[in-house]
Amino acid sequence: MAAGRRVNARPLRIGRGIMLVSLTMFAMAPLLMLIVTSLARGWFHPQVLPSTVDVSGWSELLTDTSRRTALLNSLVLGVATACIATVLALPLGRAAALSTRGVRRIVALLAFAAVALPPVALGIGLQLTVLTMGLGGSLRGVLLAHLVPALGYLTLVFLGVFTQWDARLEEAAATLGATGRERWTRVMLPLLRRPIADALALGFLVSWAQVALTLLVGGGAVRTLPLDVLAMLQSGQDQRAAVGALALTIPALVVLGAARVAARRTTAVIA
Amino acid sequence: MRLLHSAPVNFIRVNSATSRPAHASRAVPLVLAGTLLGVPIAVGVGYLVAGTLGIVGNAAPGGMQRVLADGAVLRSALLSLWIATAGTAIALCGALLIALHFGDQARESRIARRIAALPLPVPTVAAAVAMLLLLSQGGWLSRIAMHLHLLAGPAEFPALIQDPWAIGVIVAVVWKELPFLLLVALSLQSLRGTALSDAARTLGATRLQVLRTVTLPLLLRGMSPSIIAVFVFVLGSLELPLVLGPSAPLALPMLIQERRQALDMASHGEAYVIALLATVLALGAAVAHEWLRDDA
Repeated sequence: MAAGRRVNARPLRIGRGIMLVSLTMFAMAPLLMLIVTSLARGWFHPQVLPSTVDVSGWSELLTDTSRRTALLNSLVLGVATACIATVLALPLGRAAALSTRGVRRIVALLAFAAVALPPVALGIGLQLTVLTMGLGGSLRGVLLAHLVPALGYLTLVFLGVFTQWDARLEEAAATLGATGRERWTRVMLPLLRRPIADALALGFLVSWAQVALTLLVGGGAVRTLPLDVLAMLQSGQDQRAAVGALALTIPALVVLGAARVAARRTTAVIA
Repeated sequence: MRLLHSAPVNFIRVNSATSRPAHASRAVPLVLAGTLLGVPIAVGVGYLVAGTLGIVGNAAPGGMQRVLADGAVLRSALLSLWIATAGTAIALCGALLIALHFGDQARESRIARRIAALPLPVPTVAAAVAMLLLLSQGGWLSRIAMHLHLLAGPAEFPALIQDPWAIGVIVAVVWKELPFLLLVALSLQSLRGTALSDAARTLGATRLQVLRTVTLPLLLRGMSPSIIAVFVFVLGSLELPLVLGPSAPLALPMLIQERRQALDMASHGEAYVIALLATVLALGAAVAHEWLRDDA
């Protein structure tokens, strides 16, 4: 198909050019919008661009106590969710992948359900559970709630990884006299470095972007960056909301890199 | 055709199946999955059932009858289904268009794919804020239109935020979900190669015929689990309707929140019932998702 297109390339080239430009505008405009707003104070309609550049919104992120708390809460929750979910999902995904087709189906179904259930609906039950455990409105309670969708995602990731895994490598290592621990440290973990890094990143992002579960289980007492952004938006503080939105976006873009998340999410769903 | 399509997948499976150690167990994964995934899901759904039956939450009984007779619930469900259907369909069309145009190895194709994937990791809240700033009547598009003398005032700009058709929500859904569907389409294309469409061309099919009878059906078949996944995520998402959606009717997740926060007990009971209905919808989709996957 590509070869055929090259032959009469002229009109198609122009068509492709137009598509590329519109695609770029569509993908970039919202991000550009956030950047401009984050640097604008007192930017009123109908000014197309703000008259002055103001970085106070950014410095506030670290100096303002309540914003800094929100940022720290989000970071702690994200890192903890990523680590715990990876440690739990890896053995689960591996055990399921090595088992029968029926077991793999059941595990994949449960994992997808954990991801697909409406967070608002799931959150009602989790909220009551967390309250019963005496963890209502605490960071630990919110962490438990974030772990549910994160475990779902990461189980799908590791199920995909280990379904295509060549177990003969482990057997070869065992044949050559490697002990159980050596098999893990010398063979498995080096091979798994990339999937584990991706799983940590994805686990972080699931918690980092979470709104509904934090809102329900945290009961308003646990303020995270996404909730802070919503509060700023509702009180009409566009600049602060834009700064918060970018503060959410930049780590996501940097840590993961669009293509890498893509690869993971893709295998998570189709593997 | 079906055989050819699944050939590479089977090849991989044969390899891993032969190399599977003999001690592979069923109990270990089932116990682990039951504990880590089954328990939280059962707790979540269990509370909703108990709440619906009036066992927990001090809710007034008879919630189910009230909800089923409540026109507001029906309107909310229809709005949510509209958002999820329109958003998923448009994102799918865009993803297919880009995958078919920029699926090759040309330089601009690689650039296009990279740009299109950019919104993928952006948190939904950030996408919602950006769309609000961009599309509201005092937003950037309206300012630019005024600057170009296309509009006399902000009121002339079409209402795309909190509008009855939820246009702003749908635009945000497309922006957020198109990259995901695109990457699925691209990975399917590269897995499958061009053998089938080349064969069809050799046998005399026109380019349009190949597209309609070979390329698109194969892509859509392979993408169906991902399409369901997107549909379900959008259906359950709170953030986008919260920032961009209409206030009457409310999207389903918003309606659940509203009823839950209401002060009277009757509304509390209804929150459980509506959440249970939304959960049943999502679980149905999860089963369909599993059922449509070639290989679990």
